[in-house]
Amino acid sequence: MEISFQKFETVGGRKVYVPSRHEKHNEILKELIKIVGEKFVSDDMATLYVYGAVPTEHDFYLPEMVVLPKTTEELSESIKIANKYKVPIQVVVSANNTGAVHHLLTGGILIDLRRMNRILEVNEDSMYTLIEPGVTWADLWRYLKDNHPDLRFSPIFSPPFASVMGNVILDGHNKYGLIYGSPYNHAISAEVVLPTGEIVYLGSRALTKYWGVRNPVPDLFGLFLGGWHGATGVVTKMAYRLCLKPKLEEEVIVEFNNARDAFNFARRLARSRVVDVIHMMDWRFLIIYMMKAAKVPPEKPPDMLELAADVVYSSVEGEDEEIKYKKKFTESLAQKYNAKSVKPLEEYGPEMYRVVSIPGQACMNPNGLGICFTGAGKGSGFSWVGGLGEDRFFEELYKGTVKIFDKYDKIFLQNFFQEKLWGHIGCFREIVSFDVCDPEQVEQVRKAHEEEVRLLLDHGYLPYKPPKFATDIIINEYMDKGFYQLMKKIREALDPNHIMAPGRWEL
Amino acid sequence: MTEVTWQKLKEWTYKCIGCRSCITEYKKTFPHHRFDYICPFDYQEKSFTYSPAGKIRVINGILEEVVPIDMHAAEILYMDPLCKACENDCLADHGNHIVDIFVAARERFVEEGILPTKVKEFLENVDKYGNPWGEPMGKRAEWAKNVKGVKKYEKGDEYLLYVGCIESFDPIGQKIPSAFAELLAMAEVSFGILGEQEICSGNDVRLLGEKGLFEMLVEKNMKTFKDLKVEKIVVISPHAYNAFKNTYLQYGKMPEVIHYTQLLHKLIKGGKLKLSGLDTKITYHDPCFLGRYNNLYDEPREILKSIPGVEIVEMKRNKEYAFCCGGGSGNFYMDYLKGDDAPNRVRVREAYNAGAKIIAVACGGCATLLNDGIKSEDLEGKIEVMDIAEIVKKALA
Repeated sequence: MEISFQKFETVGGRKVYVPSRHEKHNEILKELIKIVGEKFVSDDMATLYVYGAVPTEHDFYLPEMVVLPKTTEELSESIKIANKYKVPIQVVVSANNTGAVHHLLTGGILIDLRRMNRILEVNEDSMYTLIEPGVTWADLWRYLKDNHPDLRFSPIFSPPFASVMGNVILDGHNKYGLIYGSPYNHAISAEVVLPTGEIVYLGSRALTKYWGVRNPVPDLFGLFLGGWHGATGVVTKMAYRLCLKPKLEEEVIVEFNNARDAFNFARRLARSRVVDVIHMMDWRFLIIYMMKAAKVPPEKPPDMLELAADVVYSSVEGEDEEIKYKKKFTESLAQKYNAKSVKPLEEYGPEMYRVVSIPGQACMNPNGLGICFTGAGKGSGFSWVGGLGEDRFFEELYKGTVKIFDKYDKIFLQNFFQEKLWGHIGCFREIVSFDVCDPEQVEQVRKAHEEEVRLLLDHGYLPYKPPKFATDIIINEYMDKGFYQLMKKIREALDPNHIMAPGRWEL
Repeated sequence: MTEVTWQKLKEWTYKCIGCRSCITEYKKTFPHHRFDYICPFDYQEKSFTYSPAGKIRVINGILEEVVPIDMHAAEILYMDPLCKACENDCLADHGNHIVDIFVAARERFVEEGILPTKVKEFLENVDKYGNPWGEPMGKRAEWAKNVKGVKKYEKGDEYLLYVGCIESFDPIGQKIPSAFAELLAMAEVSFGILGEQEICSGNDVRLLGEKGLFEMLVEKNMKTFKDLKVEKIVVISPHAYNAFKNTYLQYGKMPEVIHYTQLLHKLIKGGKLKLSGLDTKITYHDPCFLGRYNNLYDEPREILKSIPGVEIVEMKRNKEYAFCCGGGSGNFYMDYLKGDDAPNRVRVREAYNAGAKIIAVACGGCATLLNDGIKSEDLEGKIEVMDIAEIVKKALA
């Protein structure tokens, strides 16, 4: 069916796309209501706008209706209805992805899985949890703290309302990436609803009643994890690895006057396998954040440095000697690479703790990253581009990014770097804050991000959670044609009616 | 609303970037995160739409003229007790104005006459009868019929006892003024009530967006206080306490206003009421209009602490992070509390899990809704709701 859009323009020049209704809109609505109940199907403009609006430079794409199933069966039946009427669907959890990857670009049914929020099992013996997609990391964190205090998972660098499973599927950022690598490596078994509505299992659950192992059955996880943006199916249950919580843990901030020293320090420390976390941030951001978020300007603002590295080391068994050694090692390496100081995190106060522990939330908070603009501008905007690649390119990315953003003087830039998997993977992302009500700034962010995506790809970095504009650049300018055709064939095989996230990873 | 205010509202809606500090306890948890949910209707509905950030987006859509002012939008914006928990940790420019944003938007819905049926009924009843249930004015003081020492306020009485709507008409709510009045009489405090002359304070009328009706109630109440030359008001309802203490001042001079828990605390401390003891475990549920709206957390706890034998257990979410029972801004009258995760049920579970035998309250709305929550949770006989005055009465020598 041909979809047309009614367009509105917001204050900052961003457009709101309201899709025309499917010719069988009322029948679809009735059938969905029969499955999930009237309360959990909405087609009113207020609800659609909530799911379409974003605080970023992206235009707003509104769905035609929003459905909130409670069970796998309800989801499966809803997908069958979408197939019957050939209406597009996109599955989301919190519907607040910064890159707007939750948007239905073609109108259709947006399925919000937040009601599927059960923690079905925590297996202490085998150290995994079986969760549904609506489980947020706040839910899991709290549940483990209350019921299984010896276990932990790697907290996501997103606000606490973000879905654990969403982070795993989209290969999101997480705090203990240095020792755990990408979160999707820790998905071990799953239940998946295919685009045609069938329910299948992956990992050991596909052969047995157990959820605890991923291999050596044919590993089909890649069909659903790692950035398909919901185009191949919906993971409805996932066994996800947990780890023993160290009995002792210390966190220090290492300050650097020079970015090159900071990167060299981080790369060497990552390879030593001594510490659990290394990530680095622009010092100016940290200073502004601490001053503003604490709402009490320090009597004497700290000296402006270039980068600060957040380092965590621990002892699983709680051995003082182990901690002492790790501390000493970190300090001597810091000295070798000309660090200005190594100080315990506590010395910086709660706001620093907040920003290094949950930078997603801290940065999204308008008094965090957005402070430079929200004071003077009318609207708070927040957006980022990031990727995974080799850590040897940290310095080039840092310099290249600063150069790009120097041209766009109205928007505020912040850089994050993280060492992952013992130095095998480097993670970089730039984050900008801007005034969404200023069309000039919105345009500057768009241009800067296009350049940034190319900078990343030119250095072998793969953008994660790439928005539509980025996947267009990737497909048009970088992706191997054969790979594109392979992706297309897989989608066609799994989704014969082409209803899942149309337009995502497609030109 | 003036044009300027509407413009300000638009700016505020653009300040929200959906970080949702408004739904999870956050700041207090340093350095040990808990991330407990604090928004009652976001938790009940499990939908972004019903979070404060979602509602701000709805208002933004209305201001951008994409979202129509219709019944759907009204239902979303009115399903909110305006408990102010969302303002705890929001650091954005609009962070201290989230309730103001919702009230301003609701005023627009009132202007357009597009209101959920129960909201409309609530406002019409207050307008016609001075209370949300449409009960005759003459019934307002029925709670006092069998309570010794209650009379109408006369010049020279130290306190005017202003009761409030829920506490005047609801059988559970009525227990509060009954117990409190008896305690006042025992402590030989001179006081009187307005009886059938008492009308709604308008606190929730204002929060529902009916500014005109609210101003009319302010005028009538202030005239009554002035005519009777009232110098001190002791208020049972935290909703009314909030209105008298804060909002009324914008319209003129008010007598001194205190909450009944503050007076009880003073009387116990001053030795006017002697407490023998009570062997039980109590948790205190902070009412939003006492706690978050007026920073009054200590006196009710001090009263409970002063009862020998009482063990006080705190719920995980307490004081400024207390989880609302769901009844604010007229919600005690609406039909919005539904399902297993209805705020009153969630709160009862939390109290029960804390090991309490009694949930102490200081608000008729909380008493009613938490009592309903106990029934829904099938916890009758295991835990009960009692207001502070009832508990004190029970603990008297």
